[in-house]
Amino acid sequence: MQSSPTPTTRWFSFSRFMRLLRAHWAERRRSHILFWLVVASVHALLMLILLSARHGRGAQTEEQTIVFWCGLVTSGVVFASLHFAALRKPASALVFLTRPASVFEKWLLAVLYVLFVWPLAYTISAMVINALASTIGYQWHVAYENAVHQHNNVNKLDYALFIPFIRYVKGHARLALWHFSILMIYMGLSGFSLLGCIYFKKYSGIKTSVLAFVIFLLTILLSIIIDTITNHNFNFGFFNWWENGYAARWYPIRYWISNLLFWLVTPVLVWICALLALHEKDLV
Amino acid sequence: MNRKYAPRLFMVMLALFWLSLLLTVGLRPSSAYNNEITLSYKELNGIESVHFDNRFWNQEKSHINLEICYVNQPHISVEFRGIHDETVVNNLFDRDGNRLIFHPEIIQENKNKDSNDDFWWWNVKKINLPLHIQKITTQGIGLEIDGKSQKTETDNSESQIENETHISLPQLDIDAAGDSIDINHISIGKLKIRHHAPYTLCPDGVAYTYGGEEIKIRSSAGIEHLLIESRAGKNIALNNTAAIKNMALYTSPETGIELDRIDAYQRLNWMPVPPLKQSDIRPDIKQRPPLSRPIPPLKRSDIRPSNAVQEICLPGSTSVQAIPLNVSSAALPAAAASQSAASGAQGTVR
Repeated sequence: MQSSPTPTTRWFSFSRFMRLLRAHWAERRRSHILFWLVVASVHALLMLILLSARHGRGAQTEEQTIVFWCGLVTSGVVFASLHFAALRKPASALVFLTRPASVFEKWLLAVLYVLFVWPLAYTISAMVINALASTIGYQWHVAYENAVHQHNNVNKLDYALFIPFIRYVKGHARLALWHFSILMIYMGLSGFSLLGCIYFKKYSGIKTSVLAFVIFLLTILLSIIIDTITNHNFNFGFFNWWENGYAARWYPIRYWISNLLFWLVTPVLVWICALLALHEKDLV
Repeated sequence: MNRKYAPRLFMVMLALFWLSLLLTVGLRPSSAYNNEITLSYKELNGIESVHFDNRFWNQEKSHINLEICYVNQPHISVEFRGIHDETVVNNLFDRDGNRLIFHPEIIQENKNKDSNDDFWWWNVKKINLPLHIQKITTQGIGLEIDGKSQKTETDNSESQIENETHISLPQLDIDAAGDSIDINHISIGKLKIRHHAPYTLCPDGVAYTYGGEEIKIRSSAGIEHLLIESRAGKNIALNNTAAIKNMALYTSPETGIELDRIDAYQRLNWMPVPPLKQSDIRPDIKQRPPLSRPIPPLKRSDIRPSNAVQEICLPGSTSVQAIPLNVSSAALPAAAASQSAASGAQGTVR
């Protein structure tokens, strides 16, 4: 006879979470690998287009950085929207909701997959593609310069492999903090996508996109109203906590509050919303 | 559990998101950030040149622009932003023979010893140079050279413009490694610009090329004799060629040249210099490679008109763009007519 869960294991049990992890991997392994291959193919195709369009210069470190972060955010949002895809169909939703794991564990699994596993998998594929592209791009650019200008002053360091948080565009060490902010944007957008996937029963992708667009329009409306009333608009330049550092101690306290709300509180609350939405779905 | 918690929390999140935007409305740095002080350096006996080096700057930036203003005064004055107490400035310049090297040493009283120097927030707003300093060398710093001064201050903007006078310098030599050069509101008899090879920028010792910037002489700058030798620049824009009696440009083949008048190319004495090579990367700014042989003079057939931009093809791959305000293909006969009149004005600045 199975004993009832103790209060400490009711919301989280490590062994139960590991079983859930294994079950999820067994069920979704193929679709995850397929998604990974599709994203890697699109990434490779994009790098090929960039290489062709600029005689190899499209694989410079700066371009690698832009493609990497755009790709991570875009693919991460799609990946998050697919995580709870089982909830869209009544039959699979029933199996998912009755799975022997707490709501928190299911949510934690989503956190693990969306915020850690997918970025890591994407980074690995992106590194391989970018390494290949930068090597080809450098050779291509050298060959182009030799053919057109009969000389070569191409700097190989411009084609250094971009490694997030380790190697950057030349002379931009401060970008590490800015890249951390992009990760927070990724966290917020993927959490929003996950929330929409849980909350909306049908056409969740379309409804989530529409909701995001409505929020965007409302933000513009609010900006116009504020501008009309105060003659000042939102000053997005002050969301630059990573740039000011020592100087920012001279900023008023609301500078720090706005940065805290924008970069930390909002993304975290979106994920907590997803947890609550999953809990309410569980009760249904 | 109340099933409406998720949408409620979402609304709270949305409200906080908008609140974060609202908090930035009208946000300005505190007055302490905008503090400015001006410090003078008066030991200028025998000093002929000043050197500015990005290694002595307060923060690691890919582009540092320095405004240099020539003023009629016997000393150098440095305008700092973000410093409110002059006692924290220990040093302004190091002396090296007849050359001054700008090397400010700032001690921040409350600075955390463990914090990164990248985040020092003071900056140099402007440096005022006396007229007798006629040589400037730079390493990794863009220059904005200005010589505007105002006789009187008036409320009327139009009369204020009339009261602006431009400083006149008999000669100015600029030896710049890397960044852009912008010359504005100044009259110079002989201007020599050497815009050359890259350098080592990163503190970790990684060297990379840092050329590809622009030399711009604006319409408000009156230059009589101009010599530019550019091995690293992408573009040279001359916006007041009418005032230039002699202009000689020694550039790498890929450097673009923009002229404000279609007939200015007649007076342009252009010679190619060898393109940059990887081996040219060195910190020593005094070395320079020899110039290659002069090219044959321009021919009329080298002119190719287009819709708005007249592109002149010089031997090699250098392109010259003449971008006057009212250019049309009809302007070409006029340019041709002026060709003969201007043909005697060719010359080389030595």
